[in-house]
Amino acid sequence: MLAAIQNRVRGRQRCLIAATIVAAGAATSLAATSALADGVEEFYSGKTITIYVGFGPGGGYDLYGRLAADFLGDHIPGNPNVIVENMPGAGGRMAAQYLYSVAPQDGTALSVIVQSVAMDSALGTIPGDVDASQFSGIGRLTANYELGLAWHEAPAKTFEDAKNVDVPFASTGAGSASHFVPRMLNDIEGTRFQVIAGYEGTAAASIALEQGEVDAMMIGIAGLRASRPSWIENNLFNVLWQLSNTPHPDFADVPAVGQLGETEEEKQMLRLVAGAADVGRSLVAPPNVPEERIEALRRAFDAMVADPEFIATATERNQELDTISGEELQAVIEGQMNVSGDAVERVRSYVTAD
Amino acid sequence: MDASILGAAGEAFSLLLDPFRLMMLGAGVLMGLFLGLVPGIGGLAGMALLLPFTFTMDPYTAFAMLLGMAAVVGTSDTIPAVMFGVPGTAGAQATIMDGNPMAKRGEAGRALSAAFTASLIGGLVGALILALTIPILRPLMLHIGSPELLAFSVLGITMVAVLSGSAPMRGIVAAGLGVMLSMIGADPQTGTLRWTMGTFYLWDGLPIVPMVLGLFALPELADLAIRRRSIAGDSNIDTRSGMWTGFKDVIANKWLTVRCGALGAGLGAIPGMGSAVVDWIAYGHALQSVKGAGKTFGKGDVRGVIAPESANNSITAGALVPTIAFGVPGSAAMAILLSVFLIHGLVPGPEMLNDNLSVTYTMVWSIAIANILGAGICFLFSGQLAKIAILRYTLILPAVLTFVYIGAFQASRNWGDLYALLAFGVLGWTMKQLRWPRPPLILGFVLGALIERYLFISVTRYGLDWLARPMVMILLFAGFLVLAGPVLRHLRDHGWFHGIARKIGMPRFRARDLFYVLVFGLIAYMMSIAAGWSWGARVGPLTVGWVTLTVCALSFANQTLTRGFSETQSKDGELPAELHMDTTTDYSDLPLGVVLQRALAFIGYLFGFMASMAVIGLIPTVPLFIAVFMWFEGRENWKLILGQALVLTVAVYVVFDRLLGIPWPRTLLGQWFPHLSFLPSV
Repeated sequence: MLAAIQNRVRGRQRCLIAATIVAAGAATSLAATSALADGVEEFYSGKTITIYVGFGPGGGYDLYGRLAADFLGDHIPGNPNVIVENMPGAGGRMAAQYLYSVAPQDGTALSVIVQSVAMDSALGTIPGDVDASQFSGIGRLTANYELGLAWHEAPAKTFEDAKNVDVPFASTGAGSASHFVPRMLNDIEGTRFQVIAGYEGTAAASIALEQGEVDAMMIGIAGLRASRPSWIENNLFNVLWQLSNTPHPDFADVPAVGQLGETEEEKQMLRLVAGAADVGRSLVAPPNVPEERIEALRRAFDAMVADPEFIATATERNQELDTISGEELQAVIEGQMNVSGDAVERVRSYVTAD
Repeated sequence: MDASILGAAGEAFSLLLDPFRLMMLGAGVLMGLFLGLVPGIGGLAGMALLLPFTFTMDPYTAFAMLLGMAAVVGTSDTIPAVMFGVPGTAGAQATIMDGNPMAKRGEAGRALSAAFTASLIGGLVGALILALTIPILRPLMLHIGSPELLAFSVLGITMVAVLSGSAPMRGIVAAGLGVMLSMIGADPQTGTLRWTMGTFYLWDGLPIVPMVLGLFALPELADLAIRRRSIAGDSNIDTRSGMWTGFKDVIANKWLTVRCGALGAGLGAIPGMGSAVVDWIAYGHALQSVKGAGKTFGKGDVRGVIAPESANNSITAGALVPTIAFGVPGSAAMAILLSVFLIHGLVPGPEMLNDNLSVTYTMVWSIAIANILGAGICFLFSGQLAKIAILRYTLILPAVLTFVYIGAFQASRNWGDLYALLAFGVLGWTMKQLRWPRPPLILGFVLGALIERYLFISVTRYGLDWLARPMVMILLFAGFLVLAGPVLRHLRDHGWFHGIARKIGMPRFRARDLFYVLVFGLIAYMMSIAAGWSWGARVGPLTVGWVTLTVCALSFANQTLTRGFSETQSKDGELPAELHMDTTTDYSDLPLGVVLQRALAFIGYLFGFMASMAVIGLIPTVPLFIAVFMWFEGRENWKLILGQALVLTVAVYVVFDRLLGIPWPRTLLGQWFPHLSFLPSV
C-alpha cells in the first residue's frame, strides 16, 4: 500500500487522461459560445484578474493560486493579467467573506476558496451569511485527502485498534478538522483519540509524532509526499482513517470518514465534514458574475489544465493535479450543503466554541 | 568533523561563486537593507515579495537571494532606531535604549559603527554555529518537546525582572498586560473568540508590528515634535572619529558580542521566539553581565547597542535550524522559505543533512557573505547617515511618520493596524512619561501566547510528569536564578523588609497615579468578559489577570505609601541610584502648558493623517501631509516643501504600490467618484 504512494507517475497519467477528456469537452462547448466571446474578450482585454488567497504566502492555497495565475490569463479571451493577492485571516474565512460580499462581481475577482467552504457555510461560521452555493465553481486544481495516521511504534495500527487503546492525537486547534474529526469519531464510532490541541501547523505536529509526544496526527496526502517522503519510504506510519467521502485509490482498504456512521443522521454528519477533500484547492468566482464570463472562465480553466506547459510546470514545482471542471465542482459544493438541520446542529457542537 | 562535511562546505562555497548567484545574493542584500530601513517592514515582507521570483531559479540561487535578504534586515534596522528612536524592525527595539541617547549626544557615528560591526560579528557567529551543529541538529531537536519549549519560554519571561529596572512591580503589571493582549483572538483549546470585539481583524490575534511601532516609534516622534529641535540638539556630531571609536568599542567587548551572537542563534531556533524578544533578552543579558551596566545602560552606553545588534543578526541562522532539520519553520519568514524547499523538490529533514548537504552549506555561506556585504555597505554610509541628527525636525518628522504609518498598515493591511498603532502610541507615550518600563509588555506579549500553548499541551499529555524532565528542570532553575538576582538586590537596596516598613507613611496621591486606575480598570474589564468563557478559554486569562491585578494594587500601595518618605529624602538631596529601564526625555526647559499644547497638536496631526487617508487615500495624503506639516510647523520655503513632497510621494508609490503591491483600503473619494480610481490608492 505504501509503495503505491511512491508511484507518482501513475497519478500523473491519470490526470493526463482526465485532462484530455476535459479538453475534448471544452472544444465542443467553445463553438457554442463563440458568439458571446467577443463581448467577453472586449471586457477582459487590458483588465487584471485578482485571485484572492485566504492564507499567507508559501502555503498550499497560495502555491496553487500562483500556479493558476501564471497560466489562466493565456486561456481567457482578451488575455487579462492575473495576479494573486494574499488575504490571510480567520482560517481562510476572511477571504471567503470578502469574495462573497466585497469583491467586484464582474469576473475580475476569483479565489482559491477554503476547502471547508460548504461545511462552513452550512454551519454559518463565516460571518456575513455566506451561502457557498452562490459562488460559481471555475474548476478544481487538486483534491486534498487528509489522513489520520499513527506512528509505526504506536500501539494502534488500524482503525479498529484505535477503539481499544488510547491514542494521543495532535491537533492544530479547536475549530480545525484535526480537532473535530477525531472527537466525532470517538462519539460515533467509539474510537479513543485523545485530542491534544495547540500544535502550530502540521510541521509541529509531525515532529511531536516523531518524538513520541503523540501517537497520531492528521496530514494531507500531498503534504505528506512533499515534506515527509522518508516516512513513506521507511514505512514509518499506519493510516487509521481518511477524511473523504470515497477512499483514495492508494488507500482502498482504509475507512473513509464519509462512509462511516450507523444512523442516517450520523452518516450525514460525517459526509459534511469529509466533503472538504473533494473541494481541495479549487477556484471559485463571487455570486452574480455575468453568465458568459463564468462560461469563459470555466472553459479557460479546462484549457489551462490540458495545456502541456501547465502540467509540466506543476510537475516541476512538485504540485500534484487532480482536476475537475467548474460544473462538477459546483455540483460537489451544492451536494455537500444538502444536509438535514439536525445533522448540521450536531456537527456545529463539535466545530464551534463550547 | 569528518572530511565529507568539509567537502560539502567547500563544494557549497564554490557553487556560490557563480556570478549570477552572487549577483542575486547581492540583490537580496540590497533589498534586505532597504526593508530594514523602513520602520515595521522586515524580512517577512521581503520573503513574500521575492518568493515568486525564485520559482524559476535553481535552489542555490533562490536560497542565496532569500537568505541574503533576510540576513541583513537586522543590520540596517539599526539606522532608524539610532537616528530617530524608531525601530526599523521589531528586532531593533532594544537598540533604541542606548543608541538613540548616543545620537542625541552627537555620537550617532559611533553608535552606528558599533552596531554594524556587532551585526557583522553576530551574523558570522550565527552562521558558524549553524555550520558546526548541522551534523547533530536532528538528534538534538528530537529531545526538545513541548515541555522543553515551555521551559525556554518561561526562562525568557523571567527576563522581565531584569528589564524592569528599579520598578519590578510595574514591570510585572506591564508583562501581565502583554500576556493578556497576546490571548486576543481564537483560542486554540476551545475556539472561543477572546476579546475580538466582533472583528475579523483580531481573530488571529493582535499583530506585533503596529504594537511595536506604537509603543516605541510614536513616543519618540512625539518628543521630537514637542522639543522642536534637531535630534542631536546643539551637540557636535562625530562622523569619522566616531566610526573608528565604534569599531574599537566592539573589539573591546568582543566576548559580549560573541555571547550575544550565540544567544541570538540559540533562541532563534525556538519556533515562535522571534526577533521581537531576542533583542530584549540579549539586552537583559548585557545588563546583568556587564560591569556597571546598572548605572549607564539606557543613558547611551555603547554596550547596550552591541548586545542586541549582535543577537538580532544571528537569529536568521538560528531560525534555519528547525527549518532544515525538520521542516518546522522557526519564524513566519522561514515558513515562506520552507515553501521554496518544497517547490524545488527539496525535503527538509535527514536528506538536507546528508544527500543535500551542499545545499544546506550554501545557505550557511549565503548568510555569512550577506552579513559581510550588508555591514560593509552600511559602514560606507554611516558617516553620512550620522549627519541626519543635525537636520531640523520639520524635515525629518513628516517623512518618518509616513513610513511608520505604512509600516504599521503593511502588518495585516487593515484599518485595525492603524487604530492599534495609535492606541499603543498613546499607551507608549504615557508609560514613557510616567516611567513605566515598556520592554516587559513586549516580552509578555510574545512569550505569554507560547507559554499558554505549550502549558496546555504539556499538561494534557503528561499531567505533572513533564516537570521531572531533566532539561525542563535545568531551564526552570536557570529562570529562577535570573529572577532571584534582581529581586534580592532590590530588597537589599531597600533595607529588606524592615527598611521597606520604615518607609511606609500616610498615603500621598498624585495625578500620575490615575494611570494605575486605568490599567486596573482595563484588566478588570477584560477579566469580566473572560469570566463568561468555558474553562479552557478562561483559565489562562483569569490566572494572569488575578496576578496582574494583585501586583498592580501592591505597586500602587508602594507608590502612594512610600511617597512621603521618598519626597523628604529627595528634598534632602539623597537621591537613591535608580535604573530607569527606558530612554528619558527632559522637558524641564518647557512650561507644562506648552508641552501639552504641542502633544495635542501632534495627536491632531496623527488623526489628520488617518482622516485624510480615509477620504483621499494614502498616496495623495503623503504630499498633503508633508506640505501642511512643513508649512505650519516650520514655515519652510515652498521649494523645499515641494521637493520633499514629490520625492517621498514617488518613493512611496514606486515601493509600496508598484513593488510591494499593497492593497490600499477603499476611500470615500473613490466611492463618491468611482472614475477617480485610476489614481493610486484612491
